Amino acid sequence: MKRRRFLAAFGGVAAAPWLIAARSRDHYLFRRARFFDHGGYVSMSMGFPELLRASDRDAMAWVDSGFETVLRYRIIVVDRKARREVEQRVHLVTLRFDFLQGDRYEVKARQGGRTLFRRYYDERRAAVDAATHLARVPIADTSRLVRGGPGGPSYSVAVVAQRNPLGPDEQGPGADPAVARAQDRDVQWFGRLVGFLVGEVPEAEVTVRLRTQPFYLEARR
Amino acid sequence: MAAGIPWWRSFEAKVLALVALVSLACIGSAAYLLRLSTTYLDARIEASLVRAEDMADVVRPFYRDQMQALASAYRARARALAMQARAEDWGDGEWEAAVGAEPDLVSATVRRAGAARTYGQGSVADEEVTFEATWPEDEPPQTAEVVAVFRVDPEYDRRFQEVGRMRRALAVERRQIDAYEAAVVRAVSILVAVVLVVAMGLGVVLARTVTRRVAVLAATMARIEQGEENIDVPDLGRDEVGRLGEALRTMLDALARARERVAYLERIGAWQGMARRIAHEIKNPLTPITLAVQQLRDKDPGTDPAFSRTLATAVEIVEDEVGTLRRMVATFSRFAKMPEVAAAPEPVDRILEEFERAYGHLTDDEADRLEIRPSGRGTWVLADRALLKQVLVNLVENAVQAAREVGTDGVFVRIAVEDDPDRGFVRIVVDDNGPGIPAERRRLVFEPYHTGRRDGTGLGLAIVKKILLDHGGDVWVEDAPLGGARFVVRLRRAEPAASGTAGVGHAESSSSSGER
Repeated sequence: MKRRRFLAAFGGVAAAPWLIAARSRDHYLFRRARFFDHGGYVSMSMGFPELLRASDRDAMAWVDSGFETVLRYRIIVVDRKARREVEQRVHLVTLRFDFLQGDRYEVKARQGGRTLFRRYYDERRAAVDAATHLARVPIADTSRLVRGGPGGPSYSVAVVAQRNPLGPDEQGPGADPAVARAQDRDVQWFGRLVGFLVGEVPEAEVTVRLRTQPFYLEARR
Repeated sequence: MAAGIPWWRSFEAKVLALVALVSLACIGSAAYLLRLSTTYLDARIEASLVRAEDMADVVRPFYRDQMQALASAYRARARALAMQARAEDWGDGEWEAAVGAEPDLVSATVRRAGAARTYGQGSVADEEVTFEATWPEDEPPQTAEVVAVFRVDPEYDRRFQEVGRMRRALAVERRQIDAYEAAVVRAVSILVAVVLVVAMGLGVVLARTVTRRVAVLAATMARIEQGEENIDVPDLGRDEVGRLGEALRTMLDALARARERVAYLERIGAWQGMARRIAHEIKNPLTPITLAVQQLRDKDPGTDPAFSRTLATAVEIVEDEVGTLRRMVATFSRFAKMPEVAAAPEPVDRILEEFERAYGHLTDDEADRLEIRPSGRGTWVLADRALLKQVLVNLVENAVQAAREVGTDGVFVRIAVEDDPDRGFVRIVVDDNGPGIPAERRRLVFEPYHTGRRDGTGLGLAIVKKILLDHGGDVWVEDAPLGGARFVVRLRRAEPAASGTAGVGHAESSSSSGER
């Protein structure tokens, strides 16, 4: 009996760190945003300075290299009462140093396959600010929302902002399905085990998850 | 586990500890070697990735120079257009034709006399990249004489951005290579640990099959040490441990037989002493009794015929009973003075042959029969020839007398030589068709003075057993195929004597009455 108790205690102690470390990866921070009712659509203004900090030398070097820095904003409007997603959009911003256009920084924003704007900046800081701040970016058509004023339905927005999201062939060794299919079954199985032990493979260079305060639409008079 | 030994000092604990140590050593060495391998490969991969990143970085200045050259080219073309238009005084038609003639010229805006006019497409698609060249170059587009918008081949930028993506992927791979290296080491360690845990479990199970049996042996030895008797050693398998158990079992059986033999011989010795005294005490008065009654008979005057008849009957009775007592005394004396065994290698078939010549008729009744089955293989035994014959005589007479008492017609006794499971012994089997001996009496029949017959002394079979024990053999009773009893005589096998002649034994002694 003493041996069994000792072994049970040993197993519990060994498992404790794993249990303590386990937590949900989808953890959203709170940040205030500004919402605008344009009649046919609602827009939002919100900053994400942590995506591209001036102190991040590698990121700044990348911006200056001429290669694109892609900022992907996945904007999700949620009905708070019904606890369901109302609309989801992907807002894509690219920032790069353009050698052709007179050595200036180009910031281009696209949403739904359509270019919202393309602007040029002489200063990198200004370009970075423009890329990391969503200024009156359309987030939902008002036809998908219900007007009701303060007593009516309320909504909030969750944003998953990523810098340079990684494709399957960029997520590291063994993550490419095409590569996995080319290997025999034993190696595939071993690769899955290694992947499990590596843990979460980063989806992007930087990922920020934020949620906003609630908002509602005034009823039309 | 043997009593008094702590578990951590037991044989089982040592074996388990050894198995665990070997397993841990294997895991540790495998993890270390794997770490070595992955570190080496990691260094090689790192070097390759660095070279690949450097290659990607080399592309940047080329692209920059290419874009700057392209911009210069566009500006030069805008200037050429403007100068050509000024020199040739182009009108609308010439401008349209010039714009249409150049596939990558999207539009040209000409400012003349304060008015601006645009020739060409005038608008570009959403994703198209354009370059705006003005002339004069130092003028902004709003005031420049000519503003030419050129469509830039998207392939320039697409290829450059592709290099950028590959460069980023290389950087990601370098950052993650350490994590994957550690994960590979952990994965292999886990797999090795799983394999070794399974192997260790099997090893423990196998080891315990040995240690448990060793513990059983140790416990059995402890019980022997404490003087416990009738210990049953379980079957411990077919390997060395099993053989050890088998040897222990054999040893315990031999020990039990030896104890039984010693106890029996002690009893026999006690009975022999008593028989000697009884024989001596009884024998002395027999002669005076016989003489006295004979004198009485001789002194009868014969005047009273009835008295004479009574006296004669009484004398006869006394003489008969004295004779019986004399025979009993003779038996007791023979029992008390059994000779020492002088064993020598003897051919058992020849002994049986001689026995048959002497006792083959068995009795006066023609229906009674004795059958001898020799070994036919020249089997030799270590025996005292005379005493062995006495054993056979006692056993045969016992068989005949027991059969007579129950009225068996045609007594049949068979004596055969058989092999003993122990190759060092030989069996002589005496079967009869008498009443047999019940199982509960089969040990008692060899005890002195134990008899089931009306006129037995109870010493014949005791004499048989003592003689055989002194030979280092044994005798016991089994069920006989003939329906009666089977007496099994066990003697040591001997090598044939060099001269081929039998050993010297004692003179043959007369048979004695035996009992069942």
